[in-house]
Amino acid sequence: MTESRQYGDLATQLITESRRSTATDTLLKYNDPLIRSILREQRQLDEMIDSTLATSDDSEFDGNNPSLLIYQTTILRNKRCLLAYHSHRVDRLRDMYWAVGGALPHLLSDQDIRGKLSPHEVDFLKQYNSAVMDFRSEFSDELDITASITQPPKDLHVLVRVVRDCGVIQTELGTIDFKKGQRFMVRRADIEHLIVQGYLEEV
Amino acid sequence: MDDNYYSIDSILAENQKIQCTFKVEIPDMGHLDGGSERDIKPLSKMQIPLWMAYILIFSDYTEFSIPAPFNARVRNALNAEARSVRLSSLVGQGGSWYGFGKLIVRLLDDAPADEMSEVLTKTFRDRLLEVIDQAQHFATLGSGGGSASGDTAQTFREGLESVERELFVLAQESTKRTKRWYETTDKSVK
Repeated sequence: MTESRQYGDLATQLITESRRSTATDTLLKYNDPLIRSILREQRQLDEMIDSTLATSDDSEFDGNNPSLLIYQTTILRNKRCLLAYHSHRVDRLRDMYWAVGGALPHLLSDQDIRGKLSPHEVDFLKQYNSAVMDFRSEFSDELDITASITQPPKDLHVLVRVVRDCGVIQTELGTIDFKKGQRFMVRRADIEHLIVQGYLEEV
Repeated sequence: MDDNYYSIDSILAENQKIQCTFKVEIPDMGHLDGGSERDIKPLSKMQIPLWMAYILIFSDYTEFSIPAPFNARVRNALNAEARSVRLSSLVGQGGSWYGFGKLIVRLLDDAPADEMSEVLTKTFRDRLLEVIDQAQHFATLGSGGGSASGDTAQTFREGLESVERELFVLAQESTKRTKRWYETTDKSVK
């Protein structure tokens, strides 16, 4: 470890990123290099503890050694920062997932978002998605838990304008090919997810 | 600010440094505050971040002194007129003066701890009214105006620390929404 760097500085950098992410309300790229450096620091600290213990090979050793305490405290501090960073990201991912009404493919096909995720985070989203879908299927005929709750619907049907092409969709009225610029009166339940994902717009 | 293990704010607050005076010799730890000394000698002074200082103080390896943002000079100024103290410049950009203070209270014993906590709550109470007042004033002015309210108000706003800043934004947003609600004709849910 370079001497100019103090214990916990790297972890602080990581946590500062989390704060910036909250402040600007954006998902930042998963900082793999920084996390690797912190893990390396952890391993070095662990070796320091081992070597300190080895040199003070005293049978009467009562654990009263300030150096050991400093190493140990730094390890715990780094661990806390690492966990907080990841938990902060997972929170964000969950928010993003619910914001698009649980449309995972929509989220993962977005190259901009995909590029910011670590492989583990993609796995997490997939597993989270399948857990939600499992739960939802138990009562999907009565309630759709992925529907938006901020604006309760006033009608069963809704007049929509197509903002982006989204292909042929099965609805109650048969199949409809949504083309940009067209307007339709459709049953809300059929196209709710398309509104959430920004393909359609309520008029 | 909460003490949640995963709380980003709480973690950052513990990065504040306090002055520690060591009572014991610790070999090879001179780099703790970026200094060039090799070892920590008894009676040497160092700036140690709080997360590290806790355990060193409780283990009786070191003593600490009350940090500058809470020294007698600041306390006197707060006593005279809490609203004229620039808390933000005491703790640096984005720092939390109250959060820092709360952490220091935890390090103190009964009487000084009570006194310190009294200083914190009193300051907060004395300043809160002005914070909310100005937030509501600004919300009604809109984003355009602002300079009309004078220099003292401006200085006070710049001196807000992070918790107060948060409250300011919340109060401002709440006033804006209330205003919007009054002005809409559709008084149903929105």
